[in-house]
Amino acid sequence: MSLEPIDIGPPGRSFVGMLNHPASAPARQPCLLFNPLGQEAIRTAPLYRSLADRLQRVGHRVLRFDYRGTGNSSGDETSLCLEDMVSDALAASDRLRLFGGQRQMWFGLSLGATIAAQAALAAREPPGRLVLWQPVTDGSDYCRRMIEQHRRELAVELQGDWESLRSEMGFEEPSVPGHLLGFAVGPKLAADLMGLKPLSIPSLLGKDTVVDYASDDPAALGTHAVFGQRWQALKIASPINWLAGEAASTSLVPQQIVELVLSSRARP
Amino acid sequence: MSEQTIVFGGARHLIGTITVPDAQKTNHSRTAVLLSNAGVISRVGPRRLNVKLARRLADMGFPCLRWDMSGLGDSQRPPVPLPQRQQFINDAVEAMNEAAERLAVDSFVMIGFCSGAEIAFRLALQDPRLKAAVLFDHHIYRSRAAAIRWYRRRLREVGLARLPLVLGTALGHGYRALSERVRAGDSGTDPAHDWSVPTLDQYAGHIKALLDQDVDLLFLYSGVFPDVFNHASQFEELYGRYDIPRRVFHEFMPEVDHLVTTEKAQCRFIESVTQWVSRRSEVRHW
Repeated sequence: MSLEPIDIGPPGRSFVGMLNHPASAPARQPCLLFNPLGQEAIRTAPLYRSLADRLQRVGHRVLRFDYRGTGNSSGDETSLCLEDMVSDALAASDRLRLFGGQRQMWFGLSLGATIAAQAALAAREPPGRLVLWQPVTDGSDYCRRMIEQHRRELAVELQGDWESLRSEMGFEEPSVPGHLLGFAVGPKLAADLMGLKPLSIPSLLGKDTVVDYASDDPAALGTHAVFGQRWQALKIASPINWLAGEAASTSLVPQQIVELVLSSRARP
Repeated sequence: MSEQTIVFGGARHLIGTITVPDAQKTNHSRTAVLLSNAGVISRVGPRRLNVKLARRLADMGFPCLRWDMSGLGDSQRPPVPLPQRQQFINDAVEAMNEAAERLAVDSFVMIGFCSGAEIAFRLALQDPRLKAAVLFDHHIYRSRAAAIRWYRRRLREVGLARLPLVLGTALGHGYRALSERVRAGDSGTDPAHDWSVPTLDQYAGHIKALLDQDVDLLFLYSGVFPDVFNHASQFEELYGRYDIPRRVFHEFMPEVDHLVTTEKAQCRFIESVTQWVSRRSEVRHW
């Protein structure tokens, strides 16, 4: 069938994947999609599903997966760490490679992009193309935004101001490590986030990988002239707060992401 | 406990996850628990709550199936889809059929969040295999006492200096509510859903039909509509005259938001649901 659930990894440490087999032959570049975490994973699930379906329709084999401790996979949410998620990603890439084909295209959004970049640096067989949509490069800022969104969401949902809700409902002040937007941020993940360093673009390009980097950070956008044709920096047309619980007036599946991922970018 | 992702449905278009208790924890119940989507959120549930509920229930001996309805999450649409609500109810029937075959069960409890609660409610009306339903933030109606409580709260918040504004707003709302009631016989409004909302009389009639079918019901309400539903006594205020409260279970959780965000809210929600399922199972011998 065209959509196949699979288990990836050894028994006892396996995690869940969804494989979209290509609708037509011959298959084009295999694609691995990296989820973000927590509420962002919930919010972007329709986007990832739509990307997988569209890539499949034009001949790509696509694998989405839930890191251990996330989504429908087994594992302890409080024990998440970047190292384990990178390890899961590399196992998923190995599994996708069993079907043969060209070097893979990897896509990630937010922390998904951060994990994809770290996995690309660690991979024995790095991807041919890396599409990074708004990667998290400042972990403390990301934690701050999660904390703010947690307070804002509850205040809006329960129609009160945060301080009143804290005293009336006994809410704890959100913190990292802690429980934010419905998900645990355990000590290991908290330490990983706080210790995040900016992406090393020369290191990524040194892997003979084509990189598309989408951001609303002006500093990142000014880099394309420095790194040559294998590096493309794009400005995000309509930034979306993926931490928000509802799409509100924003798109579930932004067209700019779809067009970027579906576009062909071969090594020059 | 073990989990397996499955493909099912007449058109092999539905994706779900079966959670099976360990052999030493099974309670040999012939009842499985069903969980599905809330709005467009996938089968993991809001804040991954379906996963946590399924695993806790499996630890208590109940097998579970969480699945994505047609077009949501990982599930495809069937070749000839029906209108959405009917399709979702059909999907739920397919889920029951699949669980019955795989798990050797013949009765079900369904846990529904918001739009999922509507599916659970409609399914219970048409399929006798559904013995119980947990309905979270299903149709929500305002009582007169709720309106008074709300305006009292607003007055405390804004202070006497802005009393004219609060009174003006209250009168405006009251006029509009009166107009709507004259037009439609509606006892309140339900801001939470896009599907058509029954009047309170109609809804109470459906609840009584389920009770006559011997279906167990747990109504759970979050604190997300403080202007509409805002007190533990409100269920009695609304449904007392229909003789419903003594025949069902209900709980108002003001500190719980619609997406069950805080750790405390999740603990309370999971405890309420799982303990209720366990108690009813013992009493009803499912």
